[in-house]
Amino acid sequence: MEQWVVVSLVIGVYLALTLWIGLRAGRGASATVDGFVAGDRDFGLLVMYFVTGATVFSAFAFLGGPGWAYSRGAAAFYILSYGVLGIAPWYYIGPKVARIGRRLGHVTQAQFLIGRFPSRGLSVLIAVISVAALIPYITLQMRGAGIVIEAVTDGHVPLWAGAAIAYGIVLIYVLASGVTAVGWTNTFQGIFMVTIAWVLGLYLPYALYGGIGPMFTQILEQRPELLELPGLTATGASWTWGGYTSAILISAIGLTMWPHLFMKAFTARNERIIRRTVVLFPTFQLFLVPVFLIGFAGVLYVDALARPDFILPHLILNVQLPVIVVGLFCAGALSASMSTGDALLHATASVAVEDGVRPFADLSEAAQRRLIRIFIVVAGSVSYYFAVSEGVSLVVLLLTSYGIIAQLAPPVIAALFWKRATTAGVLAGLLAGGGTALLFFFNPDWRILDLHEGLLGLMVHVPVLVAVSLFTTERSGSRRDVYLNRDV
Amino acid sequence: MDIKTVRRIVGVFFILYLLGVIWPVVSLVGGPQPLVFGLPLAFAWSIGWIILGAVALALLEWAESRHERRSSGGEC
Repeated sequence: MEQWVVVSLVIGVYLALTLWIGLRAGRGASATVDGFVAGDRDFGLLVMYFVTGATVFSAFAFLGGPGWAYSRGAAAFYILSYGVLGIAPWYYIGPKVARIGRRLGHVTQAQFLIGRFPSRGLSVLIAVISVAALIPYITLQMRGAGIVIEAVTDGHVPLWAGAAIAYGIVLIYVLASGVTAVGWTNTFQGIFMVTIAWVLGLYLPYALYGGIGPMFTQILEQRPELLELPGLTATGASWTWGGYTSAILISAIGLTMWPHLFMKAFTARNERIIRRTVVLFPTFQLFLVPVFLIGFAGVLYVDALARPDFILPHLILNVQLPVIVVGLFCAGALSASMSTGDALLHATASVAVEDGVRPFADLSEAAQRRLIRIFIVVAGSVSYYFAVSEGVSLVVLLLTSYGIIAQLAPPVIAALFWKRATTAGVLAGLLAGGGTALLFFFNPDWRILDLHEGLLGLMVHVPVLVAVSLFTTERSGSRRDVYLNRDV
Repeated sequence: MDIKTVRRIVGVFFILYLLGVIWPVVSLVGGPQPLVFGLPLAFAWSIGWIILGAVALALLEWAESRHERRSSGGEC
């Protein structure tokens, strides 16, 4: 049998298993918005752990991680440095958000914020920010899935078909089972991709160099600049310390502000589960170690790839691995893509309906769930369109979105901890911070010390939020008491 | 040790963690050598902090759970 046929069979089995798990997952959930969006607030530790871990580790980590290590060397270590720092505050903030959500009936991030800062404008602004940040993210996951399938089947299954098959299956299970499908498929996919990453990450350095130590010794002799912080930029020049440091800061601040992660606080059965998920998160962070080892393994074996993100499939196909391993690798990469993509699709549609539509229209529970399903298909279609059309500058959009998403941090912190914060202050801060981030994004030469535009945005955001809050008073309707109560 | 002290220690640890992985501290360990367990120093440094972070969070959870049991039950 030809290699690509065997690989396709392995992928087929993997996809069938995923679909089966996804469809089975929804059988216990209630037919309510709470059930579809927040899993009836009944996720246990195992599922919460993998939802958080597998959602964070996307196609970007599986393909982009090795790509960074391969082409930018030590610069990739920033990705190792921010995860635990970013998740640690969630140990206290997550349970608090969950308690408030349970009490006031929230299922999204914007609902959480407008409970404290009542404003339909704020709700819509957050919905727009979230959707604008999530769509390019979904697109990248879809393209990642398509790229992997195309590469390992020698082009017999082109990118558009690969992406369509993988995400057709995601659509089916998310539409049928909502967030419980995301939970259980992520558990399966998470176990799968971690195993694959460790096996390949340890195997490739041995196969190519005789071990991890010998690999780095050889790289050190021939490409020492790759192993020295702060690493290189995409063009091969030295990266700056300002760029490296602010990438860590903005990613740590933004991590839990991503709507698809933040909203999972509302799915946990109890607060202890959120806390334990945080405690276990570093184990998922270590999964980046083999991913980087794979990238470094390519340094002396593969001449400069035009697209470094292809380093993993490239190595896999050129190292003469058993064909079944190639298939399993491919399924692992698909796991990484789909386990993030499903959560993103689900979050995008939930946010669009709950925060963008519902403040203006009184919908029944059934109508809301129907509308969320329609939006899932719409978001999927729009992303698919971008994924298969070349030339759309997605990386540009995605990089901007991190800077914008991080702007949600000051409102969340103010909602929970600052008595004097007002709706006007939060709105003004969000607009000023977001505007500043965009300004520096489009004029990178203006950036001070090469700092990330999101960080520069926060430097404007926070003073504006504080100043405007001090000069305005809160409108009626704020549930400030619930947010600031230490016992809640 | 009472729970407030534990929280404070863990808080201070995470501030040190932050300072340890950003400029200027990280520039002191940013060179490739020596290899630690076969890994470049900067790589091993980042991994070391993750492991310490995991330990700190585990200790915090252990202390918080014990605190909860004591304040809710009172008998143990």
